[in-house]
Amino acid sequence: MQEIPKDTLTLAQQGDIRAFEDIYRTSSGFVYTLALRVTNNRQDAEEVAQDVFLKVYKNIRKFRFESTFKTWIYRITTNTAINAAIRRGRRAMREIEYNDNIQHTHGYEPQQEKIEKDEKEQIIKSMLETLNPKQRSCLVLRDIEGLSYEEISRTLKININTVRSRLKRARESLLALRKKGVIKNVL
Amino acid sequence: MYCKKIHALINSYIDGELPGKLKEEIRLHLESCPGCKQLEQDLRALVIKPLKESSLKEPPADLWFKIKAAIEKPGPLTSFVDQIIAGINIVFPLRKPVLAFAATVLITVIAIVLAIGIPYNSRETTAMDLAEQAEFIYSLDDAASVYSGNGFGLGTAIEEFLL
Repeated sequence: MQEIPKDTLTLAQQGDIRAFEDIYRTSSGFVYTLALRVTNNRQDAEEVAQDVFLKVYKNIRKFRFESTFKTWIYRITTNTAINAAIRRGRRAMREIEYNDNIQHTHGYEPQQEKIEKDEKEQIIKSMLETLNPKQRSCLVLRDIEGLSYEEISRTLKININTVRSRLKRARESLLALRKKGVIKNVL
Repeated sequence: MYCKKIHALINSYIDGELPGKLKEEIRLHLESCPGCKQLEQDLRALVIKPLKESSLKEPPADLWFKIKAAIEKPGPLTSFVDQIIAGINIVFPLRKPVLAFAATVLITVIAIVLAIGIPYNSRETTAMDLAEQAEFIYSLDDAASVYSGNGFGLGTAIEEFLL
Protein backbone atom coordinates (compact mmCIF):
# COMPACT_ATOMS: atom_id res chain seq x y z
CA MET A 1 0.00 0.00 0.00
CA GLN A 2 1.34 3.42 -0.88
CA GLU A 3 1.72 5.94 1.89
CA ILE A 4 -0.94 8.64 2.19
CA PRO A 5 0.47 12.19 1.74
CA LYS A 6 0.80 14.12 4.99
CA ASP A 7 -1.34 16.99 3.61
CA THR A 8 -4.24 14.62 3.01
CA LEU A 9 -3.95 13.21 6.52
CA THR A 10 -3.81 16.71 8.03
CA LEU A 11 -6.93 17.75 6.12
CA ALA A 12 -8.71 14.58 7.26
CA GLN A 13 -7.69 15.37 10.83
CA GLN A 14 -9.46 18.72 10.42
CA GLY A 15 -12.65 16.89 9.42
CA ASP A 16 -12.36 17.24 5.63
CA ILE A 17 -14.57 14.42 4.29
CA ARG A 18 -13.01 14.61 0.79
CA ALA A 19 -9.56 14.03 2.24
CA PHE A 20 -10.98 11.10 4.18
CA GLU A 21 -12.49 9.75 0.96
CA ASP A 22 -9.01 9.95 -0.65
CA ILE A 23 -7.64 7.92 2.22
CA TYR A 24 -10.44 5.40 1.72
CA ARG A 25 -9.83 5.14 -2.05
CA THR A 26 -6.10 4.57 -1.54
CA SER A 27 -6.30 2.07 1.28
CA SER A 28 -9.67 0.29 1.02
CA GLY A 29 -8.37 -2.50 -1.24
CA PHE A 30 -5.54 -3.31 1.16
CA VAL A 31 -7.75 -3.08 4.22
CA TYR A 32 -10.44 -5.26 2.63
CA THR A 33 -7.93 -7.86 1.36
CA LEU A 34 -6.26 -8.08 4.76
CA ALA A 35 -9.64 -8.36 6.49
CA LEU A 36 -10.80 -10.99 3.99
CA ARG A 37 -7.69 -13.12 4.39
CA VAL A 38 -7.64 -12.93 8.18
CA THR A 39 -11.37 -13.58 8.65
CA ASN A 40 -11.54 -15.87 5.59
CA ASN A 41 -15.14 -14.76 5.18
CA ARG A 42 -16.51 -12.13 2.79
CA GLN A 43 -19.33 -10.88 5.00
CA ASP A 44 -17.03 -10.53 8.01
CA ALA A 45 -14.43 -8.79 5.86
CA GLU A 46 -16.94 -6.19 4.72
CA GLU A 47 -18.04 -5.52 8.30
CA VAL A 48 -14.42 -5.33 9.45
CA ALA A 49 -13.51 -2.90 6.66
CA GLN A 50 -16.46 -0.67 7.52
CA ASP A 51 -15.57 -0.81 11.20
CA VAL A 52 -11.91 -0.01 10.44
CA PHE A 53 -12.72 3.13 8.45
CA LEU A 54 -15.15 4.36 11.09
CA LYS A 55 -12.44 3.84 13.73
CA VAL A 56 -9.93 5.66 11.53
CA TYR A 57 -12.35 8.57 11.03
CA LYS A 58 -13.09 8.80 14.74
CA ASN A 59 -9.46 8.57 15.83
CA ILE A 60 -7.54 10.25 13.03
CA ARG A 61 -7.14 13.40 15.15
CA LYS A 62 -5.15 11.26 17.60
CA PHE A 63 -2.77 10.08 14.86
CA ARG A 64 0.49 11.90 15.63
CA PHE A 65 2.71 10.67 12.80
CA GLU A 66 4.83 8.69 15.28
CA SER A 67 4.39 5.61 13.08
CA THR A 68 3.50 5.49 9.40
CA PHE A 69 -0.19 5.70 8.54
CA LYS A 70 0.18 2.34 6.77
CA THR A 71 1.35 0.66 10.00
CA TRP A 72 -1.45 2.37 11.94
CA ILE A 73 -4.27 1.31 9.61
CA TYR A 74 -2.86 -2.22 9.24
CA ARG A 75 -2.78 -2.49 13.03
CA ILE A 76 -6.39 -1.41 13.36
CA THR A 77 -7.41 -3.79 10.57
CA THR A 78 -5.51 -6.76 11.94
CA ASN A 79 -6.85 -6.32 15.46
CA THR A 80 -10.42 -5.85 14.25
CA ALA A 81 -10.16 -8.81 11.88
CA ILE A 82 -8.59 -11.12 14.48
CA ASN A 83 -11.40 -10.28 16.90
CA ALA A 84 -14.00 -10.94 14.21
CA ALA A 85 -12.34 -14.25 13.30
CA ILE A 86 -12.23 -15.32 16.95
CA ARG A 87 -15.91 -14.42 17.40
CA ARG A 88 -16.80 -16.39 14.29
CA GLY A 89 -14.69 -19.30 15.48
CA ARG A 90 -16.58 -19.29 18.77
CA ARG A 91 -19.90 -19.32 16.97
CA ALA A 92 -18.50 -22.10 14.79
CA MET A 93 -20.48 -20.83 11.86
CA ARG A 94 -19.07 -21.40 8.46
CA GLU A 95 -22.16 -21.32 6.38
CA ILE A 96 -21.39 -18.06 4.63
CA GLU A 97 -18.94 -18.69 1.87
CA TYR A 98 -17.39 -16.03 -0.23
CA ASN A 99 -17.00 -16.10 -3.94
CA ASP A 100 -15.20 -13.04 -5.10
CA ASN A 101 -15.36 -14.04 -8.71
CA ILE A 102 -19.12 -13.71 -8.62
CA GLN A 103 -19.17 -10.63 -6.43
CA HIS A 104 -16.36 -8.51 -7.78
CA THR A 105 -15.51 -9.53 -11.30
CA HIS A 106 -16.18 -6.80 -13.77
CA GLY A 107 -16.41 -7.33 -17.49
CA TYR A 108 -15.67 -10.35 -19.67
CA GLU A 109 -13.37 -13.06 -18.42
CA PRO A 110 -12.49 -16.17 -20.46
CA GLN A 111 -13.98 -19.35 -19.00
CA GLN A 112 -10.68 -21.24 -18.60
CA GLU A 113 -9.04 -18.27 -16.90
CA LYS A 114 -11.99 -17.98 -14.55
CA ILE A 115 -11.81 -21.67 -13.58
CA GLU A 116 -8.10 -21.38 -12.79
CA LYS A 117 -8.72 -18.24 -10.77
CA ASP A 118 -11.49 -19.99 -8.82
CA GLU A 119 -9.21 -22.94 -8.08
CA LYS A 120 -6.39 -20.71 -6.88
CA GLU A 121 -8.78 -18.76 -4.73
CA GLN A 122 -10.13 -21.98 -3.22
CA ILE A 123 -6.61 -23.18 -2.42
CA ILE A 124 -5.76 -19.93 -0.62
CA LYS A 125 -9.00 -20.07 1.34
CA SER A 126 -8.39 -23.71 2.33
CA MET A 127 -4.81 -22.96 3.31
CA LEU A 128 -5.74 -20.03 5.52
CA GLU A 129 -8.60 -21.94 7.09
CA THR A 130 -6.14 -24.38 8.69
CA LEU A 131 -4.32 -21.61 10.58
CA ASN A 132 -5.34 -19.68 13.67
CA PRO A 133 -6.11 -15.95 13.21
CA LYS A 134 -2.77 -14.79 14.64
CA GLN A 135 -0.72 -17.03 12.34
CA ARG A 136 -2.98 -16.02 9.47
CA SER A 137 -2.43 -12.31 10.06
CA CYS A 138 1.38 -12.78 10.14
CA LEU A 139 1.34 -14.81 6.94
CA VAL A 140 -0.99 -12.41 5.14
CA LEU A 141 1.02 -9.35 6.16
CA ARG A 142 4.19 -11.03 4.90
CA ASP A 143 3.17 -12.95 1.78
CA ILE A 144 0.19 -10.98 0.53
CA GLU A 145 0.79 -7.43 1.78
CA GLY A 146 4.59 -7.78 1.47
CA LEU A 147 5.59 -6.28 4.84
CA SER A 148 9.05 -6.89 6.28
CA TYR A 149 9.45 -8.73 9.61
CA GLU A 150 10.18 -5.39 11.28
CA GLU A 151 6.99 -3.84 9.86
CA ILE A 152 4.93 -6.88 10.93
CA SER A 153 6.44 -6.64 14.40
CA ARG A 154 5.44 -2.95 14.66
CA THR A 155 2.00 -3.55 13.17
CA LEU A 156 1.09 -6.42 15.47
CA LYS A 157 3.09 -5.03 18.41
CA ILE A 158 4.88 -8.33 18.88
CA ASN A 159 8.55 -9.27 19.14
CA ILE A 160 10.33 -9.85 15.83
CA ASN A 161 11.23 -13.38 16.97
CA THR A 162 7.53 -14.05 17.49
CA VAL A 163 7.01 -12.99 13.88
CA ARG A 164 9.71 -15.46 12.80
CA SER A 165 8.27 -18.33 14.80
CA ARG A 166 4.66 -17.69 13.74
CA LEU A 167 5.66 -17.60 10.08
CA LYS A 168 7.79 -20.72 10.45
CA ARG A 169 5.02 -22.70 12.14
CA ALA A 170 2.35 -21.49 9.75
CA ARG A 171 4.37 -22.34 6.65
CA GLU A 172 5.54 -25.71 7.98
CA SER A 173 1.98 -26.63 8.83
CA LEU A 174 0.72 -25.56 5.38
CA LEU A 175 3.53 -27.41 3.62
CA ALA A 176 2.77 -30.61 5.54
CA LEU A 177 -0.93 -30.36 4.61
CA ARG A 178 -0.21 -29.67 0.97
CA LYS A 179 2.21 -32.58 0.75
CA LYS A 180 -0.38 -34.89 2.28
CA GLY A 181 -2.82 -33.64 -0.32
CA VAL A 182 -5.20 -32.26 2.30
CA ILE A 183 -5.03 -29.00 0.39
CA LYS A 184 -5.32 -29.60 -3.32
CA ASN A 185 -2.11 -29.21 -5.37
CA VAL A 186 -2.97 -27.69 -8.68
CA LEU A 187 -0.38 -25.01 -9.07
CA MET B 1 25.94 -26.28 9.14
CA TYR B 2 23.44 -28.93 10.24
CA CYS B 3 20.21 -29.46 8.31
CA LYS B 4 18.24 -28.90 11.53
CA LYS B 5 19.65 -25.39 11.78
CA ILE B 6 18.82 -24.79 8.13
CA HIS B 7 15.20 -25.86 8.77
CA ALA B 8 14.98 -23.32 11.58
CA LEU B 9 16.29 -20.50 9.39
CA ILE B 10 14.95 -21.38 5.96
CA ASN B 11 11.90 -19.08 6.16
CA SER B 12 13.97 -16.07 7.17
CA TYR B 13 16.38 -16.97 4.35
CA ILE B 14 13.59 -17.09 1.78
CA ASP B 15 12.20 -13.79 3.04
CA GLY B 16 15.63 -12.10 2.84
CA GLU B 17 15.58 -11.45 6.58
CA LEU B 18 19.04 -12.82 7.45
CA PRO B 19 22.35 -10.96 7.70
CA GLY B 20 24.72 -11.37 4.75
CA LYS B 21 27.17 -13.89 6.27
CA LEU B 22 24.48 -16.26 7.50
CA LYS B 23 22.60 -15.93 4.25
CA GLU B 24 25.72 -16.95 2.35
CA GLU B 25 26.30 -19.96 4.65
CA ILE B 26 22.76 -21.17 3.99
CA ARG B 27 23.06 -20.62 0.26
CA LEU B 28 26.22 -22.76 0.18
CA HIS B 29 24.53 -25.48 2.24
CA LEU B 30 21.52 -25.55 -0.09
CA GLU B 31 23.82 -26.08 -3.06
CA SER B 32 25.26 -29.20 -1.48
CA CYS B 33 22.21 -30.67 0.34
CA PRO B 34 19.38 -32.02 -1.86
CA GLY B 35 17.03 -32.51 1.13
CA CYS B 36 17.25 -28.89 2.28
CA LYS B 37 17.10 -27.65 -1.32
CA GLN B 38 13.87 -29.60 -1.80
CA LEU B 39 12.42 -28.07 1.37
CA GLU B 40 13.24 -24.58 0.10
CA GLN B 41 11.66 -25.26 -3.30
CA ASP B 42 8.53 -26.79 -1.74
CA LEU B 43 8.04 -23.85 0.59
CA ARG B 44 8.41 -21.40 -2.27
CA ALA B 45 6.17 -23.29 -4.70
CA LEU B 46 3.47 -24.74 -2.49
CA VAL B 47 3.05 -22.15 0.25
CA ILE B 48 4.53 -18.77 -0.60
CA LYS B 49 3.82 -18.56 -4.35
CA PRO B 50 0.02 -19.04 -4.16
CA LEU B 51 -0.27 -16.39 -1.48
CA LYS B 52 2.02 -13.93 -3.26
CA GLU B 53 0.12 -14.39 -6.52
CA SER B 54 -3.28 -13.80 -4.98
CA SER B 55 -4.77 -10.60 -6.27
CA LEU B 56 -5.83 -7.57 -4.31
CA LYS B 57 -9.55 -7.70 -3.55
CA GLU B 58 -11.67 -4.62 -3.87
CA PRO B 59 -14.44 -4.06 -1.35
CA PRO B 60 -18.06 -3.91 -2.57
CA ALA B 61 -18.77 -0.67 -4.41
CA ASP B 62 -21.37 0.51 -1.89
CA LEU B 63 -19.06 0.21 1.11
CA TRP B 64 -17.91 3.85 0.91
CA PHE B 65 -21.54 5.06 0.91
CA LYS B 66 -22.31 2.96 3.99
CA ILE B 67 -19.27 4.42 5.77
CA LYS B 68 -20.15 7.97 4.70
CA ALA B 69 -23.73 7.54 5.86
CA ALA B 70 -22.54 6.24 9.24
CA ILE B 71 -20.18 9.22 9.58
CA GLU B 72 -22.75 11.83 8.61
CA LYS B 73 -25.67 10.43 10.59
CA PRO B 74 -24.48 9.40 14.03
CA GLY B 75 -27.09 8.21 16.52
CA PRO B 76 -28.59 10.87 18.86
CA LEU B 77 -26.91 9.42 21.94
CA THR B 78 -23.54 9.14 20.22
CA SER B 79 -23.88 12.68 18.96
CA PHE B 80 -24.75 14.00 22.43
CA VAL B 81 -21.89 12.13 24.11
CA ASP B 82 -19.49 13.24 21.37
CA GLN B 83 -20.55 16.86 21.86
CA ILE B 84 -19.92 16.61 25.61
CA ILE B 85 -16.52 14.99 25.05
CA ALA B 86 -15.64 17.60 22.40
CA GLY B 87 -16.64 20.37 24.83
CA ILE B 88 -14.55 18.86 27.60
CA ASN B 89 -11.60 18.56 25.23
CA ILE B 90 -11.86 22.23 24.32
CA VAL B 91 -11.87 23.30 28.00
CA PHE B 92 -9.25 20.74 29.05
CA PRO B 93 -7.00 19.93 26.11
CA LEU B 94 -5.63 16.82 27.83
CA ARG B 95 -4.46 13.86 25.79
CA LYS B 96 -6.33 11.35 27.95
CA PRO B 97 -10.11 11.80 27.94
CA VAL B 98 -10.32 10.12 31.36
CA LEU B 99 -8.21 12.88 32.90
CA ALA B 100 -10.29 15.57 31.22
CA PHE B 101 -13.47 13.90 32.48
CA ALA B 102 -12.07 13.57 36.03
CA ALA B 103 -11.06 17.24 36.02
CA THR B 104 -14.55 18.22 34.88
CA VAL B 105 -16.22 16.15 37.60
CA LEU B 106 -13.92 17.60 40.27
CA ILE B 107 -14.57 21.17 39.21
CA THR B 108 -18.32 20.53 39.03
CA VAL B 109 -18.36 19.13 42.59
CA ILE B 110 -16.38 22.12 43.89
CA ALA B 111 -18.73 24.53 42.10
CA ILE B 112 -21.82 22.83 43.58
CA VAL B 113 -20.34 22.89 47.08
CA LEU B 114 -19.47 26.57 46.80
CA ALA B 115 -22.90 27.42 45.39
CA ILE B 116 -25.08 25.66 47.97
CA GLY B 117 -22.64 25.58 50.85
CA ILE B 118 -21.39 22.61 52.88
CA PRO B 119 -24.27 20.85 54.70
CA TYR B 120 -24.61 21.59 58.48
CA ASN B 121 -22.51 24.69 58.24
CA SER B 122 -25.15 27.24 59.19
CA ARG B 123 -26.00 28.16 62.79
CA GLU B 124 -29.73 27.66 62.19
CA THR B 125 -29.24 24.13 60.93
CA THR B 126 -26.99 23.23 63.86
CA ALA B 127 -29.47 24.65 66.40
CA MET B 128 -32.32 22.70 64.80
CA ASP B 129 -30.34 19.50 64.91
CA LEU B 130 -29.46 19.98 68.56
CA ALA B 131 -33.12 20.61 69.43
CA GLU B 132 -34.21 17.47 67.58
CA GLN B 133 -31.55 15.38 69.31
CA ALA B 134 -32.51 16.76 72.74
CA GLU B 135 -36.17 15.95 72.03
CA PHE B 136 -35.24 12.42 71.06
CA ILE B 137 -33.18 11.86 74.23
CA TYR B 138 -35.98 13.28 76.29
CA SER B 139 -38.45 10.85 74.72
CA LEU B 140 -36.11 7.97 75.56
CA ASP B 141 -35.97 9.13 79.13
CA ASP B 142 -39.78 9.25 79.20
CA ALA B 143 -40.03 5.74 77.87
CA ALA B 144 -37.54 4.44 80.42
CA SER B 145 -39.53 6.08 83.24
CA VAL B 146 -42.76 4.57 81.96
CA TYR B 147 -41.31 1.07 81.79
CA SER B 148 -39.74 1.26 85.25
CA GLY B 149 -42.90 2.87 86.76
CA ASN B 150 -45.12 0.02 85.54
CA GLY B 151 -42.97 -2.73 86.87
CA PHE B 152 -41.09 -3.37 83.64
CA GLY B 153 -37.74 -2.92 85.36
CA LEU B 154 -35.42 -5.86 85.74
CA GLY B 155 -34.35 -4.92 89.25
CA THR B 156 -30.67 -4.54 88.44
CA ALA B 157 -28.30 -2.31 90.41
CA ILE B 158 -27.58 -0.11 87.41
CA GLU B 159 -31.31 0.36 86.87
CA GLU B 160 -31.77 1.40 90.44
CA PHE B 161 -28.84 3.78 90.18
CA LEU B 162 -30.13 5.44 86.99
CA LEU B 163 -33.83 5.54 87.79
